[in-house]
Amino acid sequence: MNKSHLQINFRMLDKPQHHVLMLFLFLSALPHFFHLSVAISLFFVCILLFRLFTRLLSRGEHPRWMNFIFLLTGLIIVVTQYIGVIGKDFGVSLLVAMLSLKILEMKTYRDAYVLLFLTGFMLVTHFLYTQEMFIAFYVFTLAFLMLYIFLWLNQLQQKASYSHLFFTIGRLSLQALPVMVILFIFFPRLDGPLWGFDQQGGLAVTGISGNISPGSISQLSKSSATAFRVKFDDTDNIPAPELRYWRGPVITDTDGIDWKAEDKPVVAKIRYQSLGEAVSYQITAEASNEHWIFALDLPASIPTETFITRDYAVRAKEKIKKRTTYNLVSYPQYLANTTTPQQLDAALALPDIVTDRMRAFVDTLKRSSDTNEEFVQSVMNHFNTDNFIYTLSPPALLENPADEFLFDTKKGFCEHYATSFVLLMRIAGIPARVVAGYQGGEWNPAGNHLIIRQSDAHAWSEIWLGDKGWVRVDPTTAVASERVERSIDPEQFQEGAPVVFKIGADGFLGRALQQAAFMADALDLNWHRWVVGFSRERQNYFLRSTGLDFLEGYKLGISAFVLSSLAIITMVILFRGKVTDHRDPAKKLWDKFVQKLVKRGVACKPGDGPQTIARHAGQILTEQKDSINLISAIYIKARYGKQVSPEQFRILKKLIADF
Amino acid sequence: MPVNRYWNMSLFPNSSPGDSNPGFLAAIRSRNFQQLFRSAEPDKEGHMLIGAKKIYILPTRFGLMFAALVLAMLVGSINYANNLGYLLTFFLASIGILAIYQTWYNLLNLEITFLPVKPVHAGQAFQLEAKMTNRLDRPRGAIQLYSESGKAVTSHDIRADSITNFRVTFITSARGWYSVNDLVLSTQYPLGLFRAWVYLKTDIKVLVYAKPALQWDVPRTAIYALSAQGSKGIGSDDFVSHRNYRHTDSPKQIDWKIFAREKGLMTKQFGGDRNEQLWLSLDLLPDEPLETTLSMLTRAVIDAANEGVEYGLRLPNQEIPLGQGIQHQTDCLRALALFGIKAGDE
Repeated sequence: MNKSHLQINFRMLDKPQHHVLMLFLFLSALPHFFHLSVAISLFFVCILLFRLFTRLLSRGEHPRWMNFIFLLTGLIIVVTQYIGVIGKDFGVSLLVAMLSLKILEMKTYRDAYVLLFLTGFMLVTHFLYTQEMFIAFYVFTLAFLMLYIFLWLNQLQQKASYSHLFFTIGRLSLQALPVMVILFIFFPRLDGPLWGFDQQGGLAVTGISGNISPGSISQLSKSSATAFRVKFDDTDNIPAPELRYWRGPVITDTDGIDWKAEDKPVVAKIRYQSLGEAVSYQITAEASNEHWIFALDLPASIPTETFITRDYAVRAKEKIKKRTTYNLVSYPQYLANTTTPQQLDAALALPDIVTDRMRAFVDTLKRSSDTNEEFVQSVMNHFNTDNFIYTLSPPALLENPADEFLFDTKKGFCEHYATSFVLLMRIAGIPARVVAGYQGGEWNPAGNHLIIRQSDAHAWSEIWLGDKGWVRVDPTTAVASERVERSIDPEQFQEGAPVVFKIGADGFLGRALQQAAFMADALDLNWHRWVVGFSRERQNYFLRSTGLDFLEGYKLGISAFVLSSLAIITMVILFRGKVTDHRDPAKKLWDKFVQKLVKRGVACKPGDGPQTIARHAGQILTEQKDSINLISAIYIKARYGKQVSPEQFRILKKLIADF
Repeated sequence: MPVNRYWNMSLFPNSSPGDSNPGFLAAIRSRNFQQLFRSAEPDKEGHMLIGAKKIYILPTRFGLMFAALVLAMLVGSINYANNLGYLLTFFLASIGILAIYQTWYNLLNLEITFLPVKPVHAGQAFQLEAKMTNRLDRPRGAIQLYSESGKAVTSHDIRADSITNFRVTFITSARGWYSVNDLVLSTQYPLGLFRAWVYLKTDIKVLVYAKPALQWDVPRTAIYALSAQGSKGIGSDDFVSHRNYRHTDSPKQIDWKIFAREKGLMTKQFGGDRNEQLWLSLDLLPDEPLETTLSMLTRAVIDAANEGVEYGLRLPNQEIPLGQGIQHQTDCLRALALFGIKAGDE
């Protein structure tokens, strides 16, 4: 369209620009190296090095036909690595390959722009793999660098002042931030994707599953990874630690070794009686690749994307593949006295591994107790008094875990106690089942929320006591009552040694470290609540709580547009530059002179030239005509000619002062 | 009250007085589509202030590519319900929108003063010098000045609160007035995504003398020897006039007093008893085409001035009496340059 375009477009990139562009490209692709195939990453790095060396050594261009070979190699690598899988990885690999080929052609300003745009698109693909805070920081830093390079390319001065570039882009970014935030909050979110995709298939995460076997929970307990976080609506009314049972899969079926939750649970309704106050809270679950949502015992109100089973376990309809926040209400005190005969039958089913030793043991205790409650108490007492040890690393149980644990090793973790307790109950004719979940949780004062870690994984029992309904019994408390009051410290355990519980941190450093850890955790939760997990529901929640819930559908879109426009205008006004009053010194003097003339009654219109004014003034102030003419003559020379001597300027100054 | 709108800034300052937008129909009729566009005009003092309404702005091809990038990122973010994707998309979109303003602002309230241009001979180049005054407390990057009909583009960064001189070179071809009225001031700063430009209606006219012929010996008929008038009493080394110094002149002839007054190097010319008078006219070359005649007369004027003879010029429409000196030479060259060119073109 215009030659001024062309001149810029074909301007050659200089060496520092070349190197910064290559560094930028490398940094932009870097996080992808960790999940893309090694071949693609190597290809990219090789091309980058090739380009670097050909430029450094020969300063020349490689032959054109080599580009063709590189193109072919790149395509072959992408196709062979991701054959049959046209997905995210394929697309990103193709992008990386395309970028590396573009590097080979990088010569001019225009090439740099095309390259930067491609890289800009690659930056956003990082978020498909991880949405952690550090990657966001990394990507935004690179986006800043991208703008920096844009500005650099547009700078004419050979020696660009880097701090000036930095501040210019910094100012621009500062202006953009509020606009970005407004768009982010108000931009309407869709419910589903525009087209189908399988997000993060085959994710390997640790967490409680529907299967419990000896060692499965103690294995989890060695991990301090966060399972979920809980934010209570009323922070003054939080259930005590011993009431914080986070209910996961409820398991009735067993062969005596493995305990398995129902594969296809039936959707049920909640039909228990609440006894105490309701607790409402939000659970922010980490990706688990499972369905379980660990509601506080017992859940009463659940979000729409979940359902509840007949044994009151909450399940998400889809597997939890990314961090998600759920709103729930629970009653920590309840009377769950409804059940079905099928449920009771299932809860009485005995596996084949029940030994005579176990039956004899139950008979002995049963004879000495009048009621079921008394029987339960005597089993608990047995655990407490008969040298049972609570340990994360119990000795291996070979053929009959329950029998060997109860009578030989007597060392176990919560799943050993819970499962063997349930078996003993069933032998005695009391319907019983195992509940897996988490217990307790650590209070984060920095974020006012509870952190539940994998090390808080727990298993307990529920027994049917007729009128009292399903009652929670935690046999672990019989051996280690601290377990329900304090969390296990996963960093402090030795093989076979009794579990160490967390007590408050000691010393200044310890407390400071603990504080820092709490802050980081709070930041992480808020990051999720307000950024990564800002879904349609969170958006609605935000709008409701700010009284803006009348903005629905298209109105929300319009408000996003209007508000962001207002933000842009505000930013433009706030950041507009100042105009300094460094007029031409001659002009300053002349303006002063004109003001004096106006005082004397000479009418000067704005826009009148100095000659017009001088002629006009000369007619009115006839006796000062000479000095007026002299002043205007020197002024015209100073303003319209190239320069006046300092002496002449002094004369002008004096003449105007004396006037 | 004095004009003080240069530093009395608002976001959308009033455009300079005398909005020059001739009628739409008038422009169509005259097929001068340039007139359809607004252009910046000088005020009575000859200063130009780039007003808000004079600035045009459109995305460059990079701007369109950038928009495509943001759109692609938005579609991806919506599809994957990726909030960080949204964030980056909205960040870049905001930057893109703000860049419109930044580019526009880069030209706003820039003050331009064109310095006078000395006449040149046809075929020579002249440099138009524009003084660009930036009164902002921040630099204006990559400002370009060019003539739409010319080839060269002059680009400079203008530092905060400072003045930078831009020079645009024009090559003349014919005698008469060379008018400069298709200057464009443009910028793509800061990000190259948008291009803002202003048409400058400068109405600068540069006088172009006729191209001097390489050599022409004035026929004897043009020379009259009038020794009586030439006698000035004392002798052959009478001071006659000044002329510009040439490097072949003897230093003894330089007028050092003038030099001391910073008025440049001038050579004192001395005349003697023999004083020739030279009358130049079109009649001396009846057979040549007019342009050739004018170019030969131009040569004669230059030579005569150098040799220090008295000369006069007779043209059909005017007569310049005998005389000497720089002003006289300028008058003669001007008369030759504008001979036959309608006054209305001036």
